Amino acid sequence: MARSTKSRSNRRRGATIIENLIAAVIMGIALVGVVSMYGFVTTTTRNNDRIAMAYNLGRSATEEIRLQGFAHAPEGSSKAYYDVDGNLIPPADLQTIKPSFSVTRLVTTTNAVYRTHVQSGQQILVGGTREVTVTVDFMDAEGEEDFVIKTLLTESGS
Amino acid sequence: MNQTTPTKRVCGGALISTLTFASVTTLVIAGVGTLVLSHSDRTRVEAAHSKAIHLAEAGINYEIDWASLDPNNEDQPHHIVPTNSQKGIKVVPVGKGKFEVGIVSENGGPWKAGNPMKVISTGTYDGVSRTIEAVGRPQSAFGGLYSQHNFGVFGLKEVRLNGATNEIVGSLGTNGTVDFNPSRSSMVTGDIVFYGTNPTISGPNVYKEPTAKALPTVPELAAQRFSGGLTYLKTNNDNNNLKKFNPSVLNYLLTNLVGAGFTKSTWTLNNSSFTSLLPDLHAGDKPKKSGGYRYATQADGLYGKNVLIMPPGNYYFESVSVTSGSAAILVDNARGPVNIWIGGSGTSGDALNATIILTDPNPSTFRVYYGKKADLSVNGTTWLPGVIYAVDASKTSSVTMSGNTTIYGSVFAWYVRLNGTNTIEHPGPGSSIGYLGDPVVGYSYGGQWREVNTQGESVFPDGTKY
Repeated sequence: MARSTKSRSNRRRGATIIENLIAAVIMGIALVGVVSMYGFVTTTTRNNDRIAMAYNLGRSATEEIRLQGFAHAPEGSSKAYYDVDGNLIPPADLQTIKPSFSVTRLVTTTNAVYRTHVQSGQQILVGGTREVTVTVDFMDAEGEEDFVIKTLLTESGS
Repeated sequence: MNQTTPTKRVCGGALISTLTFASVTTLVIAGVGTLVLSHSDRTRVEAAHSKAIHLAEAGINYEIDWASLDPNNEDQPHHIVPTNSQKGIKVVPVGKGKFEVGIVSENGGPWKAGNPMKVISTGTYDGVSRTIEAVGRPQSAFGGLYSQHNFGVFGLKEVRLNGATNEIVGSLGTNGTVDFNPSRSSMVTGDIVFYGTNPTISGPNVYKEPTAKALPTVPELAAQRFSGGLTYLKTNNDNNNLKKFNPSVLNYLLTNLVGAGFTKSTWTLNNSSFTSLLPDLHAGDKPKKSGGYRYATQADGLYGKNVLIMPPGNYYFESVSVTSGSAAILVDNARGPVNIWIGGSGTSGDALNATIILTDPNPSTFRVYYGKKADLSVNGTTWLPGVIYAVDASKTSSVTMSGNTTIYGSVFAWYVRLNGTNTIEHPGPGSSIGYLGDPVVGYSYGGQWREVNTQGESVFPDGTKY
């Protein structure tokens, strides 16, 4: 009885080792999944934050141009740089601070009508259509598509 | 048996614990992953919503501007429900998105030129659509709240300032020439703008625009307001509602008026029209400088004059020749707008050289529309709030002011001639001089912005209405 019990006990101990090995493999696979998922979640969350920040920067720039209005929104293109938290980076600090976003404001006018001050030749825009394009570039995330907002301003519009 | 039980528990425990841990971990990770991906999708959809609303607003601006290019043409805007000759909803691609825009009248029906329009625009980006409504308000040619045009004087062909002292408080515009007599004293406080023509004068306030300003003629304006235009007005006017003070009561109150003897077919207004009217002997109607306080201006009043009273309405004449110093007109615009239409095919000039007093000094509710191929002379009243619009179809009509007259409003005509000492004072931008029914030079964003769903209902759950 004693031999038989020992033999059965040995067999069970062997099975436990195999079980432990299987468990270790499963744990390993699970941990690999956890680690890779952790990376994926971290990256996706960071991208979400970036997109949200780009959305805010783009909308803010667009509203600012709309507030300037048809007559006063400056014609042409201008670019500003922002850090990861959406703070404006002064041009002088661009050497030391790595920008996360650039916001390009482009205002173009079609069918422009100008009132001309006869004495000075100065031209005042009084008609036409002004297309506003705000592009937010993700400078620290390659492959991420630029965030672009477009709208139109007119003399008589909102 | 007692020895084998713990061994069994230990062997199964390792695998079960591992599988349990792995399962729970997988579930948690899957949940977190789903949450993160959902958040990611949400962020992108919100961005698309933002882009869509900007595109929708672009559509509103586009359509109001488009309608303003030919503001008196009902076929110019894009209509939600077009008739045969009208354009339907306009689709404009903008970048990777688009907007679709069209108009209806403010109450949702077919739109008539010169009236407010409801602009409905849908912006679409990346499968997300948002629809907004806003109202385009007509810009009165005479300026005011919704207008960028604030002219004291506009001469479509000519403005001649030839008087001893002429002052225009506000801007002066023309599609033709401005002629100052250099030996006289004239002043324009605002801009002098030449539209589609080279300036004929110089100065620090002279401007030029490339395109002539288009204004509707009086017959066109009448047609916008009344089906049948001036022909309709000829027989469907309010002339029979002209009043006089009641001779049997003698209290000179507007609540005791009687008919002045005019019919709808009385198209002549001259000195004899006033002879049967009761002279006003109310002491409060003396000039204010003499103690007057009621129907009077500083230097003028109804006292001692035969008074014709014009309640709110549209009056039509073909011959106006009021030159008697004892004739006076009381315009009761405090109760509603008063419009005098002067039309017909005659070519003899007309004269409105009488004391004209308004019950409300607001210039938005008194208009004289002169559609004859002739000259309208305006003198004898010292301070007249309102607008004189003399733009006839033959491009001939003129307004001549020769006396010590101040018009608090605007004068528009093919030819404007100021002789003597005159002042035309525009009340300025943002004032209430513009009125629904005025000639329209464009449309402006007039507020009442709201987002709507596909049924046209406000998207705000609290039922916010504009």
